[in-house]
Amino acid sequence: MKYSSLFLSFCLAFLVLGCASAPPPAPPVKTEKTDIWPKIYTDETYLSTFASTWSEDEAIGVIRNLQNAVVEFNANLPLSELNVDPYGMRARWSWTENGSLMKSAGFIIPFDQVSSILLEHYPSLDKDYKWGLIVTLAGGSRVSLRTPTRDAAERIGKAVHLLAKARGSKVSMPNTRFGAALAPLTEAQAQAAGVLQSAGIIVSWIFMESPAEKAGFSPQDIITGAGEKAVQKADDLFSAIDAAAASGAREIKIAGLRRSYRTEEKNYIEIFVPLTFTLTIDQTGVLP
Amino acid sequence: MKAKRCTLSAAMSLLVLCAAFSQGTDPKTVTPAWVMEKQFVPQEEVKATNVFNVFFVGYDYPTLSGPLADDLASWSSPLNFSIGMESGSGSGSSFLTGVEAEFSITVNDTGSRFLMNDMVMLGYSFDLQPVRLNVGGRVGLSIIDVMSPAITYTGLGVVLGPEASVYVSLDPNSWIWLRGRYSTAYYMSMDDSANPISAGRDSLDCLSLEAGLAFNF
Repeated sequence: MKYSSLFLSFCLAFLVLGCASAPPPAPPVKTEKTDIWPKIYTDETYLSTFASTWSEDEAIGVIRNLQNAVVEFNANLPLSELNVDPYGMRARWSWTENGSLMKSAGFIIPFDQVSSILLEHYPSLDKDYKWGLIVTLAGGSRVSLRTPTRDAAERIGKAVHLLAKARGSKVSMPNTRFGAALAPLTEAQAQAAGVLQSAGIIVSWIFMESPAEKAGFSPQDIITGAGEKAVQKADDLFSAIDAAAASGAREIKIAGLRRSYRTEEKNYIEIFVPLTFTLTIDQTGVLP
Repeated sequence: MKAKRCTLSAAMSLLVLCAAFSQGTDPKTVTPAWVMEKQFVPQEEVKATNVFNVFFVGYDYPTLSGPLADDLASWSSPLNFSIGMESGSGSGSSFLTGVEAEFSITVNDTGSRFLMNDMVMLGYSFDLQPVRLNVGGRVGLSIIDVMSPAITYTGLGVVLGPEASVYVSLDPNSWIWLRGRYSTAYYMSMDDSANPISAGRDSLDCLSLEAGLAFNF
């Protein structure tokens, strides 16, 4: 009798403690996956056409003069060697390892291979030289440079652009009347937004100081129409803007959807809000 | 009056027309999801670290009183401890639930006494970083077992009472705690033999002071 009551008490103790070991309530969680949407970059890309009236010699001179104001993005070391001619830009930098082992590295920008130039600002970079250029070459390889000022980055960009054009390179430039990177909707994005995959395009990222930024566009916005026309691809949007500009319009209404959240109790519910953007049209289509 | 009615109907017509030809929302009024998602991560981290879920062990110093206390006086126990868990219902200040087992064991020349309380706790936890103040009440089962040459008996009963405890954070995952509790237990005898409980001295009051360590789980 005595031992059975003790046994009973221990059983009760384990039962009560066992009930308490259930996991605590989970914190509120987001209800939808977010990795199907364009990545958000902390780097800022500024809209620039890199247009200049320099001659080739002047462009080469500009690059040479800025030798001490350029570092390669990751190396963060001054250039020990910079060689520029009408066909390319070659740079090297060197450093010592373990006290005596001298190492060096470099990059080459063949001007006839340049496919795009972007003016970058790195506000969250924990280093000096927060402005820079990304020069993309045919085949997809990139050369990333950093400079201390926007002016230095823009001057190098103008020089590279001029020399690349002179070598016959097809340098793609952003549409300066809009100023955003656009992409077709993926099936997952269209399904999440509740639209047909062909019913719009998505904004990957926005150029700073662009008409799109001023109109309030944000990365991940979906554009479905411009003026009175549906937008199924980027060219539809640009055509509508150009047509509005040709008709003398000062602005054009662009319809879109924005992914956002509303809160319901402790849950965040993903929603898509219909928006109307008012894009101001630059009649010249050329940046100042 | 007529002019007022005309103005009202015109305004309503305008409202209906505006609604019919309404456009999408102004983008400035809708926060993009990615902006909100940047705020989710730190909030969720804070919530995850700020939920009170602890496992605790501690030393218990009980002071017994009430009808049954005199019969247990021979076994003033040096070996008393408690073990249990407490869980908050959310982050920050929140409602609190917990379970606890208290053991009080004494073996001496006059025999042995074993007292165990298995309790559930309901209360509220105030988050006063880096301190937590928990107040609430406990209710549960109590078992007392006495073995001596003169008398042997077992009692099973109900124990309940209020309590207050203070947890002081030592580091993000551990605490030192102090607790004060007053409880009353009512027993029924599990033996047929004559014993204090069957004689009517079937309740035991206890003022206990406890201290120990707690660890997040």
